[in-house]
Amino acid sequence: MADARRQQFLEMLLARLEAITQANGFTTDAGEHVYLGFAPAVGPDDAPQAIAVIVGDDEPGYQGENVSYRLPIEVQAIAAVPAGQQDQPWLTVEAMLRDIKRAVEKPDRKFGGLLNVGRGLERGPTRTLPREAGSTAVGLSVTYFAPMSEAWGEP
Amino acid sequence: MDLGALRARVRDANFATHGVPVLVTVLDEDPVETNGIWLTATTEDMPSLMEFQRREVRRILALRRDEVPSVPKGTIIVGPESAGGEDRRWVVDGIDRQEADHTRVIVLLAVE
Repeated sequence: MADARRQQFLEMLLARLEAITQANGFTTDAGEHVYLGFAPAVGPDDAPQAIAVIVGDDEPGYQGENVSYRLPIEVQAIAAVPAGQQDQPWLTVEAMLRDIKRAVEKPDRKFGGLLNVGRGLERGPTRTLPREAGSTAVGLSVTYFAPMSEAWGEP
Repeated sequence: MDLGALRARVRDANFATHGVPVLVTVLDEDPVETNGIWLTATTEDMPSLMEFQRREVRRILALRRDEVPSVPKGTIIVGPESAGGEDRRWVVDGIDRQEADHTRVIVLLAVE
C-alpha cells in the first residue's frame, strides 16, 4: 500500500530542505540538520544552523466525493551568528530565508502532483526574529499551506 | 559612622575576593587593568519567540565604575571565565544594569 499523500508530501519537503548545502549551490548549510515534527533545544556544541518543520492542524474544506484540506507547515530556522558578524545578524537571516524559499519552491509547487488542489503550494507569512543582547541566535520562519484532496478512506 | 567608607571597603573586598583580573579596553582609550566579578551565568532559549530555539549561556560581568566609568557596546575585555583560568577575549554586547558603584555588562565571546 502506498504511503498516505500527506506523508509523501512531507518526505518530499524534507528532502528539499535537506538539499540546502553549500555543496549543492546554496548559500548556507542549514539543510545538514533538519528536524520534522521535533524542535530540539540545540546548544553551543551543535551545528550553528538548523531547520525544524512544524506541521500544524489541517483546515478541512470541501467535502463531497473527496475531502479537501489545507495543511499548514511552518519551516523554522535558527542560526548562531559568528563572532565578528554580530552587529549585522540580518545577513545570516536573509541567507537562510533565501535558501529555504529556493529549496522548497523552485522545483515545483505541486510537489510532483501530490498537491492536487489549485496551483499547489501556497506561501503564508514570513517572520524574522532579531538577535537579542547576550545571545548569538537569530531565527526565522516561513509558513506554507499545502492544499490536498483525497478520496474517503484513501489518504 | 561613615557608611560611605564602609560601603567602599565592602566593594573593595568583594572585587578582591570574588573578582578575576581583566583588561578593559574602550575604543580609542588606554586599557584599564581592574577586577571584574562574573555573575552566575543563566541559560536562556533564544530566539525567545520561536518554538525552535538555541539554548545559550548569558554571561554578565560586573565592573567598578570608579575604575571603568564608561563601558559602551563594543568594549573589549580580556580575562578568564573563572579564577585561574585562561584569558579569553570578550566583547560588551549590552548593559544589564548600572548601579552607583558598578556596571553589569552583557558579554559575548569575541573573535580570538
